[in-house]
Amino acid sequence: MNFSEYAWLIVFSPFIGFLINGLVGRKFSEKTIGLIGSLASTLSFVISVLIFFQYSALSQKAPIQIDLFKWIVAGGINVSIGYQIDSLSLVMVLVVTGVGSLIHFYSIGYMHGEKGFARYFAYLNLFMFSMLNLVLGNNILLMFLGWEGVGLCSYLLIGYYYETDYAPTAGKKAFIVNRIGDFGFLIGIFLIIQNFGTLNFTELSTVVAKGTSVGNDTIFWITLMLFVGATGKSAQIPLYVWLPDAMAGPTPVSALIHAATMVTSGVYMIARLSFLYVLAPETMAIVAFVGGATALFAATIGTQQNDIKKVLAYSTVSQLGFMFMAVGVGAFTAGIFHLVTHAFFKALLFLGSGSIIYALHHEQDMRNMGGLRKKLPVTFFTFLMGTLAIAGTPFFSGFFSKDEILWKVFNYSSLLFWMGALAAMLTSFYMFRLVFMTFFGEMRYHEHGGHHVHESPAVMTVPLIILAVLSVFGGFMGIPHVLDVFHVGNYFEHFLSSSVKDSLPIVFGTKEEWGTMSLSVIIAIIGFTIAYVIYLKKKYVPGDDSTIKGYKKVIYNKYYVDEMYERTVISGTIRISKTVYEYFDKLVIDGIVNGVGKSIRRIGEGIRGTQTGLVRDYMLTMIIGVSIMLVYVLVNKFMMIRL
Amino acid sequence: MQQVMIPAISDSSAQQIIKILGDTNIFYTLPQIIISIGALVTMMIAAISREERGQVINYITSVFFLFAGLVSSVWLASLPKGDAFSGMVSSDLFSGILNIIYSGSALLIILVAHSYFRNRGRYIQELFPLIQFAVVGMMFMTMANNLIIVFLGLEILSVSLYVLAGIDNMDTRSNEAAVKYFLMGAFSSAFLLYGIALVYGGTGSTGLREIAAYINNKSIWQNIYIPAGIILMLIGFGFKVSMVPFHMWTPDVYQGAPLMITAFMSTAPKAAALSAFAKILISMNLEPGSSIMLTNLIGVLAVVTMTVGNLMALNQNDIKRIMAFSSIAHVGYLLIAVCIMNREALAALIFYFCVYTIMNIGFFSLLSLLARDEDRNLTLEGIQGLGKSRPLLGLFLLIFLFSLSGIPPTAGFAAKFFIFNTAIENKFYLLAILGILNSAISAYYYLRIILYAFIREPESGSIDQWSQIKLNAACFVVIFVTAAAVLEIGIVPGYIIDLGKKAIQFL
Repeated sequence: MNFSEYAWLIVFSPFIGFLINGLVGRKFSEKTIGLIGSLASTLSFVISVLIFFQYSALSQKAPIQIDLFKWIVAGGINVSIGYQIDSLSLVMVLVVTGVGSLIHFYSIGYMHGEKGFARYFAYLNLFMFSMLNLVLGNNILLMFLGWEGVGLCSYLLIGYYYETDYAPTAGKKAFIVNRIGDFGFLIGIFLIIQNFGTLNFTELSTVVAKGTSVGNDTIFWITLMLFVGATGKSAQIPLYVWLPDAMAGPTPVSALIHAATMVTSGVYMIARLSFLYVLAPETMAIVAFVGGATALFAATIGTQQNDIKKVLAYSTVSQLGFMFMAVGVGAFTAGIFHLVTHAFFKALLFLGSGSIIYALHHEQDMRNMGGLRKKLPVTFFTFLMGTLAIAGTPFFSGFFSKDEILWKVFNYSSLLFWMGALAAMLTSFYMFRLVFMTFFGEMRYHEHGGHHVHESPAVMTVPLIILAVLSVFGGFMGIPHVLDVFHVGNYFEHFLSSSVKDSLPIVFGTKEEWGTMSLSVIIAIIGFTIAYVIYLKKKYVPGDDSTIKGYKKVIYNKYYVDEMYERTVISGTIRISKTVYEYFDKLVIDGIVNGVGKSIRRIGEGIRGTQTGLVRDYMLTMIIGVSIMLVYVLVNKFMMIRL
Repeated sequence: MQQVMIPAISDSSAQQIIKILGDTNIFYTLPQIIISIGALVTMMIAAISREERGQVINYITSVFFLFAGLVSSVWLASLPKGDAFSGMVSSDLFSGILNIIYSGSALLIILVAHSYFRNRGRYIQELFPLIQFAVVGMMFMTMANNLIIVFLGLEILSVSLYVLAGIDNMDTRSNEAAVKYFLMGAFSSAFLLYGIALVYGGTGSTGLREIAAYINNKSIWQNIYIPAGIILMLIGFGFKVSMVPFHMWTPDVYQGAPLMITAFMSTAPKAAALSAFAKILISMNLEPGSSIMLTNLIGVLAVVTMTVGNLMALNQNDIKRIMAFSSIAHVGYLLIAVCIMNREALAALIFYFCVYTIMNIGFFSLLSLLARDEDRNLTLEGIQGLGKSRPLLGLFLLIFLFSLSGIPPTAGFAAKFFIFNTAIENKFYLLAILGILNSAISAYYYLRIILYAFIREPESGSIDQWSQIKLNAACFVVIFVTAAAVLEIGIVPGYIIDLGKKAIQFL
């Protein structure tokens, strides 16, 4: 049985779930809704696993194409709705459906009793559908369809609590910022159509492999424009501002969309189009340095946040920076590897924070937490595993992937390496700061009105445990070769090699690899120690917002980037559009439109009189028409004679 | 490339039948035979059993025969082309697809018409045989290889339509419509016949192949009878499709005739008349240079037709009347394709027929649920509040009207896009621009219907009225299927476009 024939089911199973919950979900009980949504996603996961095993047994790992039907045929462009299965898309599908399914189950517990339970699951399934189109699509247009689809679902889910005033605003912000990126993405697509005439990944790579006549400048602009799209979706400088605000959505959404899957699609896009990117080293450098800068910049902001989800949000931005750093230097495998491990531990951390928030009745400020270790043992333990993983503790998953990135980056540029190393130290610091402030010390949360803090139900803790196991052991699929004492080889890199190959030349030897590895361990320990001294030994708790002073205030307020955007881009746009509206739109456009509309209606009114209802008038009209046409024939005839 | 599969004739029994029947090949007219039998049977039933019981029996019988006709059309379309009756008619994919449109639309119309006339409180059994005769006439028009057969088909169709327009003999407006239609129809048939006579005089034959052999890529100007004859035929067909200035009957007849009859008149017969004319033009094998006169003329007629149709629709209040002008405007778009007059344009024409038939029937079926008081409530004010009290019906209304005005992702958009795109590819830029401007104007009156249905507050009594609407199963199925098809074709138009392109190769 060839499972890849059923690949369309991976995509459409969540869509069916969306239809059921979206159309008739309101009539079902919470349990039914949750099960429909979760099982739809789980089915996708099961099929992906089956396909994965079958595919990895193949000796020749050529991409499998599943063309469903022709979608757009216009001019020379021929786009089909079709899916491509190769090692890269399989890795992505496994992450999306695997982590996605766990989060679906978790949501059953977390969203219990919320208004719009069916709406939530419908959106979540719709998101899965779009995301799977994004990663499985065999052409850029279908990828873009998924890209827009996940953007829409992200908007809908951020604004899920639409009765509050901050959630809809955050949703709008996410949407608008993403539109700016999408504009770049679209230009990239147009340029590809213009220069290559195809949007299909396989055809495109064949064209490129044969040696294309398209100039390097063009390829630079194509790749750069597509990267602009990626900065929007994957929250990189300068378009990262929407992601921290996106935390207004329910926490499982933050885990699924804004940590594990959607925000990594920019990384996936670059890996997918790596054959184009390697032709544009300038773009690659831009990608790498934007990634490095974002990693460092976001990490500093993360150190001073007090909202538990905000810390994790900036951490996500920072980790995405690491991934872009990797793909930017040409270490595509390392970038995707970090994408996978990050999906495990960041989903775990978000879900863990969700478990805390759930237990504390929507309290998110860490200044009001503390001492939760005893009350929430499972959450604490799993959260600690996630923290150890992201901080880069040896043999945890994050260690392997982050170390791999730093090592590869070291081969590219030492400046970039030190930026990454510093960001890694800050990561270790802010994560332990978070752990110490929430789980250790005295309990600062006031239980009131008989609400006691207790551990979340099993439907939430089981996904936590599974993700914790993955966060701890998930790294062993990509062991760096200096640690490969049993010579099992780097399975991950080997598997991916059939679709993505690194372009980075390794210039340093084993000694340097050991060096960078030791350094990253030391860095992690330094970060931990600082956090330990400040937040555990000295039991320091940041005061109210008004007491924060000096450089801390600047960082706490995120370097006033939002305010800067507000003052310049936003108010500028508003002022320009107001002027245009007052003088151009109202006077010129409205004048023309209303004028044309009115005159057309008046003409209509005029010729309406011809419709008298009398047959004799009608026949007269016909006769006049016939006469004119016959005279026309005669005129033509005479002209022919004269010619 | 996804290819439309045309299975070779493998059915040995079919081959045997062809062999036995020899030159007559009556087998190629199987859909006509089936539906004619259906018409005769339903007429007998009408004579024997009156009132409601007869109506139900007749309904079931005609649905059965039309369905059989549809299936046999599909089957014939899958066979290679072939002649019947010594080459007087021929069957190919082109006629096959159009036959599917005719029998399919008649089937949908009858499914809805039954409940519509029951709501109207009338039991009119003549309805069933007449629609089936009309279908037979249309099928002959498309399959004809001879101008006489075309005329014969057209008359079978026309006479059925005259009677159908006046089928509600208790409604004076219906009677008026029938008389007007008949008077003017007879008048226009004369032009068609005269045109055929002139062509016969000019070429010595009425057979399309013989005419083509006579003209044989030479100028049509070798004698004046040929162009004059073509123009007169254009007038005859133009009347049937309500081309301006021969459109004057359309609003009065469409408004007067019962709703579902209007639905029928506005769809399949137009496809029949235009496809017959296009087939005549194509098979005459005109040399491109000599047909500039025709191209210019049809181009001007296309622009005038869509402009007049759209402008007149702007100030109407009665939805049936709006739809009458809307159908005139749509004929204008179709004439663009006729004007381009190459095979690619014919593919666009077939695609537009399919889409137009589906969305128009869907919209009229939806209206049939709302119609009261001999359709007199179908005005803009009359449908206020529909969207609010019956959101599902409102949604369907939205889909059909979006499609009619050509807004993506509906089939109407794909159809218009295909026609205008073909015009641009063949360098008919002015036609394309005017067509696009016209569809912008048309959006006004279609969206106005939506405005009234959704935005305007309903009048006090009408909420009651909407909540009383019962969704009849057959009618709902028709609406649902057409709406789904409108969206499906709008999103994935590739298959039907391919089919259309394939069909043209067979001509």
